[in-house]
Amino acid sequence: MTAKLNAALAECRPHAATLAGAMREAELLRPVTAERAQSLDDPTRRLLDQLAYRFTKLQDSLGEKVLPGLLERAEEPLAPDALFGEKLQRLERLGAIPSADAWRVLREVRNAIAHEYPDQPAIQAAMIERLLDATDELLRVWTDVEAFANRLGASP
Amino acid sequence: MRMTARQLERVRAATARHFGRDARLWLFGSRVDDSRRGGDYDLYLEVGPMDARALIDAKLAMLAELHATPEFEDERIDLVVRRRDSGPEQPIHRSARTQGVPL
Repeated sequence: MTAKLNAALAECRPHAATLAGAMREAELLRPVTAERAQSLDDPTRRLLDQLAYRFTKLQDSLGEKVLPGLLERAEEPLAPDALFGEKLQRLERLGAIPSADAWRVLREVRNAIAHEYPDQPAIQAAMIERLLDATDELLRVWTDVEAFANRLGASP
Repeated sequence: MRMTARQLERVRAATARHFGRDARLWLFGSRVDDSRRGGDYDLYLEVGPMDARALIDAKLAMLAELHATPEFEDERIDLVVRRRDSGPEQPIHRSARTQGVPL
């Protein structure tokens, strides 16, 4: 069990490190105006692609592997057919994630990343800005989750 | 139309909560066709003037709210939102409005 959780945490670390690095560069894009969103150069597109890719990978690994692993490790058994929402509420109550609702919105950001709005530059700009904000939030969640795992005794 | 009364209630309530009472809502795509099975929920929304960031935030919050309900937990929802003041409608908006079912 612990080995599985440690493996899941180890899977997240490179995603988080690359995401944090990409985010430091992407901060320079703020504020993302409609004009800027319409005329992104190739390096900036690649940077945003990298950000989106690592955001997706980190969100998926956390949601599918680390969070379920933390619930097991915390010895807080839930019914096998417990809804995902119940698991999130439990994780919030345990202090593993800051907010179940905020996690759900990050999940929606992850699903919305691939969608582009070439005919609506203001919406495209707002979506990029939202991705940058969501990346900050996801990296904070990762920090909290890793700290919680360490408190549970999973080795770093 | 393939949507349960409970789902309809959820979608109407979430629309009003996140986009206001004057937002108009349609179901379009495969869920309109009673002879088909399964499929995504394609929803089209026409909303009043709002800031682009507010629109994105409202859309994400509405999807998060619906996915938190047992009725939509594992369902794919494609939510297309158009501001009425955003210029001429695109073909997807026109077909959603004319071939969809107003909810």
